[in-house]
Amino acid sequence: MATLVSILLSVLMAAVVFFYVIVMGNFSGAAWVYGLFLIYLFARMTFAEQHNKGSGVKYRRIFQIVFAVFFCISFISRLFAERGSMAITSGAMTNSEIPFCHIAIPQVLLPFTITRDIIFPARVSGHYASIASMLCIWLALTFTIGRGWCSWVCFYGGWEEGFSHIGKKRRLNLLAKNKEIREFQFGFFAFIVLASLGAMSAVYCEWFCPFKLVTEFSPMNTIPGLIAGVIFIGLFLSLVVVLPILTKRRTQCSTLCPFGAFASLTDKASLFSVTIDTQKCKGCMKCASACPFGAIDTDTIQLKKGRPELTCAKCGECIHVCSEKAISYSFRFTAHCKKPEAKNNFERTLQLFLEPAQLFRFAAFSFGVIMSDSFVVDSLSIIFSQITHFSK
Amino acid sequence: MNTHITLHRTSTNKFIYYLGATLTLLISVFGISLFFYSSSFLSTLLAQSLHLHVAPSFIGGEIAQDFFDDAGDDSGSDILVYPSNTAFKEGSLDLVRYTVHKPVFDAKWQAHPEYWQIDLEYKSGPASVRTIMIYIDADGDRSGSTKTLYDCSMNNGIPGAENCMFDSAHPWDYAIQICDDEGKVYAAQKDKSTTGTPAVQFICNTELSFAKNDKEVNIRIPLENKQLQKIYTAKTTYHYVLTGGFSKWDRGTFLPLEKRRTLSRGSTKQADQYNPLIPLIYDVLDDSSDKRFSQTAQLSSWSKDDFTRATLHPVTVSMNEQPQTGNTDDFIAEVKKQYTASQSSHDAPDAPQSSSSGNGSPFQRALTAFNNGDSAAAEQLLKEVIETEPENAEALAYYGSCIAMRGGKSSVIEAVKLVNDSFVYLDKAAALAQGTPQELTVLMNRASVCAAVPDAVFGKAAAGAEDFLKCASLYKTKVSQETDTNDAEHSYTQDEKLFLAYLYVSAYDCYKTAGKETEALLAVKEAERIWKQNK
Repeated sequence: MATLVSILLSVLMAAVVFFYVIVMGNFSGAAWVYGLFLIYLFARMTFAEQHNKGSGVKYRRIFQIVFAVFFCISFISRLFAERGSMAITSGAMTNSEIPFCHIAIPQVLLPFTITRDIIFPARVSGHYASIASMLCIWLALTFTIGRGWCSWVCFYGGWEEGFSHIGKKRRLNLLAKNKEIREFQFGFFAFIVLASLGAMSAVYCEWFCPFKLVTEFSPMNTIPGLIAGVIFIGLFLSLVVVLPILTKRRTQCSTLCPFGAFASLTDKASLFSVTIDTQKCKGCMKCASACPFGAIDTDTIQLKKGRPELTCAKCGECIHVCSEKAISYSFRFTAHCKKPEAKNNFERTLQLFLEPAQLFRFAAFSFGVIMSDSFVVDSLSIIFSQITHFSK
Repeated sequence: MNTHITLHRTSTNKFIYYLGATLTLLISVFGISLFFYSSSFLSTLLAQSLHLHVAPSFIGGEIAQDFFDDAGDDSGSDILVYPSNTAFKEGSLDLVRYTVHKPVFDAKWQAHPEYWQIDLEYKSGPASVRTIMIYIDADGDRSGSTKTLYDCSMNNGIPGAENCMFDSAHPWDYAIQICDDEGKVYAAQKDKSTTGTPAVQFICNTELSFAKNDKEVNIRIPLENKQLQKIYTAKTTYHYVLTGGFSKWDRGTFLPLEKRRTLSRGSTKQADQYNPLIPLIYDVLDDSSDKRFSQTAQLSSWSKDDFTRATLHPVTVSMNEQPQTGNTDDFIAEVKKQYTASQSSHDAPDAPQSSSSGNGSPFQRALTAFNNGDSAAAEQLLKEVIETEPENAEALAYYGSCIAMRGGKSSVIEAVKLVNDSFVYLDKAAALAQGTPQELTVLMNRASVCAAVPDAVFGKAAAGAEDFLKCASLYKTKVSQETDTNDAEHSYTQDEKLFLAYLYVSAYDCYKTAGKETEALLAVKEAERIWKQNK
C-alpha cells in the first residue's frame, strides 16, 4: 500500500512538473531535460523515504544546489542582456527595475505599515520578481511550508548547502554556541528591521547581503559603494564559502539572513512542523550535530522539549541521522489534536495517504519546482546553445 | 458517564484530525499548484488592495505635474522636413510625455541624495538622434534670459541653435541641455557683459538614464549647488521643452535645417519653403488647453518681414499641488459600456470586415458562424478554407482565434497547447497581411487573443497592446483616406470615435496587465483626446 501511495504522489508530481516545466517551457529540449530530472528526483526521494525514513534528504540537497547554481546563471545572463552588467544602473533604479527578492520582505513590511511606501525600487506588479508577486509567494509559503522555504526552495541557500557538503569532516564545531548564534540572528534581524525603518531603506540589501556577488550590486564607483562591495565580498567568502565548509552548516542562513529569522517567527502559521518523540529519544545528539541551522542543542534534548528550536527549517537532516526514528514531520494542528490510532485497514490506508512527511515533501518540492522552472530551463537553454555553438 | 465522554472526545479528536489532514492534503497536493497558476491575478489583486507603491525618493520623487503632448506632432511648425539620416526613426523626436517631479531630499541608494528629476518620454528611440533643451523659469520674475543658450553664449563656445526666443514674462533661469548621452545644466546670469548678450554659467552635469529602448529619458539634476537651490522653494516653475535633431557633425547643436532639406515624411513639402528664421525644433511641449499657444502657433510666430524669431510660451508646473488624477476609470468603463451596447445593436462602424469573399463562400459562412458565436462550426469551415487557400491571411487569423477560443473551453494543459497553436496561425496571418487591406482584421484578431489569454502564462499582453495601437493607426488612416483628409484635420463621427476609443482603452488594459504604466496612461489619454474631440 505504501508503494501505491508513493506511485500516486510521484504521478501527481509528474503532472505538476509536466505543466509547470514542460508545457510552460514550450516543450523545449531544456524543459524536457529538467522536467524528467525533477520527476526522477522526486520519485527517488519518495521511494527512498519509504524504504528508510529520512534517506530522501540527499535528493533535496541535489535539488537545492542545482536550483541555486542555475538560478544565478539565468539571473546574471538576464542582467547582462538588459543592462550589460551586474551593477545596478541609475536607469534600473529610476524605473523600479531592481528585482525584489524574499530577503527584502521583512525590511519593507514595517515601513510600509507606517508610511504606506515600499522602501525598495522594484516593480510593483507583474510576474517576474515584483513586490506584489513576492509578497503573494511569501504569504503562501507562510501558511504552507513555513521556514521549509529555506531548505527546500531558497535559491541562495543552495550555495551554502553545496559548500557545507564539500568537506567530509567537520573542522569547526559550533554546537555549543547554537543558542548564542540563534540569539545573534534574532538580534541582527531586529537591528535590520529597525535600521530599515529608521533609514527608510532596505539596509540589509544595501550593506550586508552576501549574495550580491552572485546577483547584482551597486556600482563600486563611490566610497559607500566600495565599502558595500568589500562587505558583501567578505561576507560571501566567509559565511557562504569558508564557514559552511569548516562547520558543515548553513552559517549565513543561521546567523545573518533576516528572512530566515522572520520565517522562523511566522512558522507557527504553517501546516507542518518537526517533532521529537521524547520517549524514543536516547539523547545521542546526532541530530543536533547534523542540524545545518543549529535548531537543536543540548537543552532541546535534555529538557525534552519535543520539538526543535524556532530556527528549524524542516530540511530533514535530523530525521535522516536519528537511529531511533524519534524525529518526524507532523501536522502543526496535532499539537491540539492527537493522531488517532488506526483501528482497521481503512484507517491504516487513510493514514498512509495522510502521512505528514509525504505531504510536506510534496508541498515543498512543488514550491521548488514552480519557483525554479523558468530559471533552470533558461540556464539549460543557454548552456545547450553554447554547446551547439562550440560544437559547430 | 466517563466512558461516554471519553468516547465522545475520541471520536471528535478523530474527526478533527482527519478533517485537518485532508485539508492539508488538498492544500499540499493541489493548493500550491493552483496558487501559482493564479498568482498573477492574486498579486495584481494584492497590489491594488494594498495600494502598493515604491517610496518616491527611490524613483524620482513625487510627481509635481505630468504633461501629455500630442503624438505625431514632431514636424515643428508643420513646415519642417524630417531628417533623412537612417539613424532617425519615426517618432524618435516626438515627445509624448513630460513629467516634472518634486525635489527630493535625503534620497537612499542614490549618487546624489538631493536631486530634482524630470522625465521625458518619446514615441520611439533612439536617443542619440535628439538634442533636448529645457529652459526653466524657476522664480516667475523677470530675471533671467529670453534668448536661447546659443544666443547667450556665442562667445563662450556653448552650442545650440534653436532659432527662437522666449516669452518676456517668463525669462529662463536654468537651461538643461541633453545631447549625445550627456546632460548639462546652465544658469542665466545677470547681464554683466558690455555687449548686451546675457551671460550663462555652466553649473553641473546631470545624471542621465534612458529606458524602454531609449524612449524614456530620465534627467536627474543634483541640487547640491547653491545656484540651483531656487528649485527647493519654487511654488511654480515655467518650462520650455524643445526637441531638435542632434547633429553629430557639430556636437551639441540642433541639426541645421540645410541638412534636412531633402524630402519630408512622404509629404510634398519641399526645400523651397526654407527660411533661415524657421525654428529648428521638431516638437515643443505645448499647453493643449489653449489654442493660442499650440505648437504650430508658437513655432509659426516668426516674421520674415521684420526678422523676428518665433516666441515660445512655457507650460506652467505647479510644484506643490497634488497631481490631478482625473476619473480615468469612469471614462474607461463608459467607453466599454458604450462599445458593448453598440456591438449588441450593430457592428462597430467600419469595424474589421472581411474583404475577400462573397456571401455564399465558405469563408463568409465561417465569418457568419464566428460572429454568431458558433466557433466550432467556424473553425471547421475555416479549416477547409485554409486547405484550399493556405495564404488567406484573414482565414488564418480567424482560424487562430477559433483555436484560442477552443482553448478557453479546454483543460489547462490542452488550453496551453491550443493557445500556442493559435499564435502560430495568428502570427503567420499578421506576416501575410502586412500592408494589405486585411491587416486591420488580422491584427484585431491577434490583439483580442493576446488580451484574452493570461499574461502570466503566455506573456502576450504587451504585444496585444501594440496590436491594438496599430489597429487604431490603421483605422485612422483608413477613415482619413475615405474622407480625403489627414489624421489631424479629421473629425470623427460618434461611431468612429467610439471604435477608436475602444481600441485605445483595450491597449490601456493590455499595458496595465503587462505592468507598463506609462504606455497604459498614454493610450488612455489618446482615447480621451479622441473622445472629447468636437464635443
